[in-house]
Amino acid sequence: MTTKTNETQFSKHKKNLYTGSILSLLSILFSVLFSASDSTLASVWILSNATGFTLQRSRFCFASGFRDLFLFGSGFTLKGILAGLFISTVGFSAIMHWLVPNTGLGMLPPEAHIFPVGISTVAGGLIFGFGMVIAGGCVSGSLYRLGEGYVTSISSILGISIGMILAMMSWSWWNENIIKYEPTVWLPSIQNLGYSWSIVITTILISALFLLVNYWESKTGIIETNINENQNPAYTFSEKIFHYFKSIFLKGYSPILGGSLLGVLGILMFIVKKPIGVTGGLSHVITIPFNKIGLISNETVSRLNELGGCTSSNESLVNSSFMMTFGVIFGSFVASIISGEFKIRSPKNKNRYLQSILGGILMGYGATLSLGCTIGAFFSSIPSLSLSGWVFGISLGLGSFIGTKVINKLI
Amino acid sequence: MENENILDVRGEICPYPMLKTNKELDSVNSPELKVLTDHSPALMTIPPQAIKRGYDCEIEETSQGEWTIKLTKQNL
Repeated sequence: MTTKTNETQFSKHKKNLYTGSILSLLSILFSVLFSASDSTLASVWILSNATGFTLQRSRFCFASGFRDLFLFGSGFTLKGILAGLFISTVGFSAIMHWLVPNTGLGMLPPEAHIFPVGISTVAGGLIFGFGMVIAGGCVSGSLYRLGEGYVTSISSILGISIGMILAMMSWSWWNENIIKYEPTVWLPSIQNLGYSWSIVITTILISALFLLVNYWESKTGIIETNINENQNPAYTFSEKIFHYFKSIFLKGYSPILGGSLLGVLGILMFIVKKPIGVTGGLSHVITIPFNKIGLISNETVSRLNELGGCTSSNESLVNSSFMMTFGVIFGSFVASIISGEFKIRSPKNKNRYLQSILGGILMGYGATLSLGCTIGAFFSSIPSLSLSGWVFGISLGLGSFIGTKVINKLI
Repeated sequence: MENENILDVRGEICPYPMLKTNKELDSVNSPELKVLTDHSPALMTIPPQAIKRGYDCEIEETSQGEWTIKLTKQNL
């Protein structure tokens, strides 16, 4: 099996590289100027750019991580997610240990994604998991694909926004009847498990899943393929440099590499400010006007702030969540420009717009119930050693399983 | 030139490029199929599906953000 990259060398990519470099410089300049007023936000911006870049390069889709297991019998992406979860777990634990050395005092590490766990988590996960399969991508997927030029991402983001508004309008009901009574379970504080045992338990679960996914693949008969490039040996200096340029900017990353990089970026983001969550920026931008006109009550806003995570907040418009969401879009845009993959893509089948809006509404509703999306309430929550991350993850899996039954009919 | 079997899935959202390719491979047992796509994840997901069905794959970048995946039935 071979991949032809059109046998042209560096010259073909020159224009893309120049445009990409100018965009990157602008982003860095923005960050430098911004750091004068808020250096944390400036760092969050750069890290979010890197996250968007990684998502685009590895074509990382959390939705496909769950969905492809059922749809194609493939767990390649899920294995990447598991690799990232393991790396983040180790890093997050170190940070949390530094924040809260003694886990027996009932204190929770600030900013860690430890959420109430119960019916709202399960419902949120099921709704979100179902929605992401219908829409053809989760929140992070829609954001990075917007950066690449997918027109349906606009409709899915519109849907997500509508879903969030609906959820926040009905949030006081959920809170009064369900969420208020749900416990927040942080593994290290159960029975004095502490960090060591929590890491051990989390690692065992991740490893068990890794084995299970491989077993699943062996049953479905899927094999991992390595698309070999026509490897021209690199002799000269410029050939050697071009080889690395190609690996970083032109070739797609494997899911394991993508997942691991996201795991590392998650740790860095937590050190700088808080774990990654990409739903927060959208929710934040929407909450401000809808709170002003009274559709979303002050009570809901303050209760959501109290719970933390990826939901609305009171701060000024440009906060860390804002930087994360928009930084991811920009990072992916730059990555797609350099690799020459940017293209305005719109579906011929117009029903896909409807599909992505409906899927988006479900995702927005689900993410608000469970205080985050596949990243915030799952990828950043399991490493926070929170039980909610696992419950949300399992529910996502179930929801996407139901989703695959539906999309097969919409072909 | 014999008339080529071409499946154009450009513009389709995830996972339809893969689903449609699978469907095509399963229904029409053609010796060769060219899939036109602008969905980069398909470059990673279509080959394993095709190989599972006994095809060889070749990927060519045809233009900005567009690829042709050439699937050829292996002679067993």
